[in-house]
Amino acid sequence: MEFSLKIENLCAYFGEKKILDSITFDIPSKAVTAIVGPSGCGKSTFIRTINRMNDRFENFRASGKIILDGENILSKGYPLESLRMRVGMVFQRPNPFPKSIYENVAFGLKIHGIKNKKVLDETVYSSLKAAAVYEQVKDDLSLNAYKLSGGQQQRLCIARALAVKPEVILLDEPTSAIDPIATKQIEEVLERLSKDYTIVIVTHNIQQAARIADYIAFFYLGKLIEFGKAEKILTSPKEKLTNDYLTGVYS
Amino acid sequence: MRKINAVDTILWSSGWISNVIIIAIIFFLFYNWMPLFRMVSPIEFFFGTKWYPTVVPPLYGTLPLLVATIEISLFSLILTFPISLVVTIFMTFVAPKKIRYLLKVFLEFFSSIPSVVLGLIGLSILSSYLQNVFNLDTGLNIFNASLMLTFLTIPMAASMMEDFIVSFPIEQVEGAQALGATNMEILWKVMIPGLKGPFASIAMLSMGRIFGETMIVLMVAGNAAIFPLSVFDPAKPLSATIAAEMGETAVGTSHFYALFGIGAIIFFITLVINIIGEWVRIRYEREMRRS
Repeated sequence: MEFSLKIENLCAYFGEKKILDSITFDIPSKAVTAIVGPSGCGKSTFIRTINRMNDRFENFRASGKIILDGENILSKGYPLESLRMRVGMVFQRPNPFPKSIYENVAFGLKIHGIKNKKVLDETVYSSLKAAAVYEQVKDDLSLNAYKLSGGQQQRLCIARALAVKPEVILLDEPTSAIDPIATKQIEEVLERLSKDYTIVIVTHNIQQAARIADYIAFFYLGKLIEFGKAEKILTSPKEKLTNDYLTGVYS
Repeated sequence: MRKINAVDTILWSSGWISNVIIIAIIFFLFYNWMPLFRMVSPIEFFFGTKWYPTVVPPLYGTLPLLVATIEISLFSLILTFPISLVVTIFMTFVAPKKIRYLLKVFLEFFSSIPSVVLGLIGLSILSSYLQNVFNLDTGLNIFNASLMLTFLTIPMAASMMEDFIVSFPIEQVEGAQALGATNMEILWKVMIPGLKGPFASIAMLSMGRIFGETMIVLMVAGNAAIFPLSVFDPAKPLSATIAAEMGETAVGTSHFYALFGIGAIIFFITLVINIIGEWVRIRYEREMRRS
């Protein structure tokens, strides 16, 4: 099995508060890994550390290693811009820019200096198709993204992340702000994308993890309790905490 | 029937009193202006190019005053806007946190300098400097007035811009960061396009502030009612004309009525500027509201 990211002894702090405690596991490439656990267990902090989104908080600090392609992305000199090109992210609430659909998807390419109209066009179309939103918006790509429904906006955000050709896509509870039908569409998109991309999704919804995850990591109070193949975790967890969570003892 | 309590009454009456006062002001302006047109034709008043209120017969052409006001205001706005933007960018993106705080305090402090002090600086320091450097007949001119008005307006404009940039939706900033955008790319490609509406309304509000400002232009614009051609010409803007001449004008004379006419012109132009500013703001808010 191949691994995209190797997490070694990762600890994270906000001020004095330890949010993540010695997380160590490898994230398999070209598969969906779901991060589950009760709220406040550090799931979001964990994936936001992978693309160093937490750097903007002055009191945030992380130790340990996250190895991408043999390099520790947590090291000081690691270039953030190229990290974020390789590790894309989709957020909890759809956050398109108040620009046209086309401009939204082309944004990442344009800031990385791609100006060729043909390349831009092709990437925009293929990204929209991969995110299964092309059919609904193809008639007018100049439409302001705010005019789209929540589910369409979220798929547009997936397309926007795909356009810069990342290897890993991080999703932070991407369906928590949208309706069940749109959720199903996004889950289908993610399953298809997992053939070509490494997908890490945070979810508080066990059913969702059961539907789409190949691997599940269970977090509790900042610690990784259990990691393994999805079926195994769901049917015969080794740890009592995992079992309690799955059976709804706490949520 | 609804019960009316004391608070309701106070709110209701203060709302209506302010409306009534505004209407009274408009009425007062017109009441003291209209008699002018018994002596001078409106065409001469609005489009006449000579303002000589003390010659016989007096000439009340307000066009050179209006042109002076517009020139000074536009020139000042052209200076204010980019400088404020640079100050804001420095404060929010470049300066370390401690210096940012100091700068903010400094800006607040700067905005509390009375305009008469700025006028004094323009009059005593900048004017002789301009006169020598550019070899002019007088350092009291449109350029000097615009510069001083710019100093007056920057604190307000910069502090409003800073508010908008600091409160810019964090989701959009993160969305751009997650695509590998640098701070400067986020600023130019996400924030500034997204803040077109607020920035337009900041421009309008600054314009309103500059337009009605009297003390500075009275002191440093040169006080010469000629048709200003270059920015180094002295001029006499609308507001300065009233301030300079009202004191020596007898009530009920044509000059007196003409000065009220100038007041009415300032009032209406400021009103239009403010309405446009409001309209831009409302349109932006509607655009930003997600359906």
